Amino acid sequence: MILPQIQIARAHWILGALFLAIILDEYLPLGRDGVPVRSRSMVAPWALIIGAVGIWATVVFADVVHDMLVHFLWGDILFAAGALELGRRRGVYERPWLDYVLPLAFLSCGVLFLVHVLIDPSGQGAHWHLAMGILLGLGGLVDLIRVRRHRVSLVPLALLPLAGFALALIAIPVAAAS
Amino acid sequence: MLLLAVPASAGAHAVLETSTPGWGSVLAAGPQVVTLKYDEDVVPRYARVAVVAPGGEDVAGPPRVIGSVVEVPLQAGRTGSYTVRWRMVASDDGHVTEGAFSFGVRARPLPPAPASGVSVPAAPELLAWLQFLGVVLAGGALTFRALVLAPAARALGDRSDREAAAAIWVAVVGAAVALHAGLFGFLVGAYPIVGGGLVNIINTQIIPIRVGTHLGQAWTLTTFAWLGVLALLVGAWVTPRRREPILAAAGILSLGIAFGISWASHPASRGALALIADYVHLAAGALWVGGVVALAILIGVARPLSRPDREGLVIACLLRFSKVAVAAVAALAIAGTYLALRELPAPSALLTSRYGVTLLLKSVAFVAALALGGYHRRFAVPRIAAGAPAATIRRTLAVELSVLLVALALAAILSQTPPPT
Repeated sequence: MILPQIQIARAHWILGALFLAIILDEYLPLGRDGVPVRSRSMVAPWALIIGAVGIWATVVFADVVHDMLVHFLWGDILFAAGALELGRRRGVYERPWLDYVLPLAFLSCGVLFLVHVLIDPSGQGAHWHLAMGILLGLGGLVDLIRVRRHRVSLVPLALLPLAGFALALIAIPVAAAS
Repeated sequence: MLLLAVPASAGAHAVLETSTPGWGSVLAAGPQVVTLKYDEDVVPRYARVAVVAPGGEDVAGPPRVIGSVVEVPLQAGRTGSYTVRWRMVASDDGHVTEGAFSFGVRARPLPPAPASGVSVPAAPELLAWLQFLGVVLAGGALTFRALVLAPAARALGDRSDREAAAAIWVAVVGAAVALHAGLFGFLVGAYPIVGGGLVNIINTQIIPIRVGTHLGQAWTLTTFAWLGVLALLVGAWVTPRRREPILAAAGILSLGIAFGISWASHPASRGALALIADYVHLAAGALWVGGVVALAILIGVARPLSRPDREGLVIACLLRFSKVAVAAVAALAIAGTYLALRELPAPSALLTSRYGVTLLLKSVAFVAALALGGYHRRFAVPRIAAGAPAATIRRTLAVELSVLLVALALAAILSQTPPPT
């Protein structure tokens, strides 16, 4: 089964909007007195796990082998990150290093986007993959630095590249249609 | 992160969109031409198409390329299965894609015939062993919990689930290992079908093999099932109140996955009864080996308990497991004997073929493990009941487990060895 381009474009648009909602939920959680608090929402971890299953579905239905190999790594990273975040937010697993899970997941997924482009530099959508990889990796890196320095900010800087990543996904069908 | 579930763009390489005859189609007469339609233009000079007839000869003429359409004249008339093996270079990016599919003339097509002389040594056996191990660790160990440990603990009034974390981690490791072994097992299995060099395999167009072979179909099913098992295990981890039913469901699903492994095995081509026998053989083996793994874990994690509680729990589990193991071993032996009689053309093949010798060695390992199980049932359990420490069984349990793992490795070799004719 090869998905038609229209379905791929629609999936980009919907998932881009969903990702935007998820990162806003994750990075803009305000306490009652306006003080930022760490999100305890279950949305992000479950979204990571469902996303991992979706990516493994892409592994299964991919048309060429290198797509399978890149996607299974994405799937593994997201599944592990989702499970660890879920364990922490449900209170069954508490470790200080869990703060690094989400930034590292974003960073490594961004790097894998770049690897994907390196393997197939002239493939269709390579420039989009490159832009998305840079944005996602940058978002992860910025958030990693924030966590490392124990910085608490009302609006984390990482939100900007991550939102850019989401907007790039939304822009893909627009660009394709035009 | 749902966004990352977006399927990859299909336009990066010359991907085969349609073909005439189609994948898996059955024709009343041999076609005069095979037409391949790609999603982008291909370079005529580098277009290669071979059509292997039932007798093994290539019946394809020189390919004619018009943009993204490749036509190949044929001299196909004989009844049987034909394998179309193609290799194209995309005009725009110069990337090579390869693929294979099959069709039948007045006969059901077989999976694409492997290209001769290409395979990855030892990898299929190792990956099959890891898949078996996944079923054992997730299916066998979790089913042991549901059938043996949970009822025994309830009977003793023990409501703690102190070994649940260990059981979840063991099952997660098993499921994750099997998930990845399945992926690489599929790729290693597809490699000789497609042919070409190792570098080219990453550009291989894999869809016909996924759709048209038992290997691909089984991999598709087991992949989603293992993901379901992993999701259930995460659910069990984060919701302690509903842990037992979720873990039991994960165990049952993991044992069900063994059917997918059987679907891609030799017996699957021998009819429904052989397929069911293979599944029963594998599931019963997983229950036995997984139970021994779970017992070993239990003896370790029960150490903090007071001695009477510990001994009571271990003895109750041993007694219950004995009954389950007897049933599992009986099913294993009956199904295994049926499969051996089905696959071996004559008793002499036990000594004269690779398949037979491996089967013989596996039977020896089975008998050795059975003897150790009998020793536990006949001597070790009464001794512990009479007051000996539960840990005395640990050493012989470890030996039994080692022997069973060797038997499992031999089963994996057997699953990748063609039966003698």
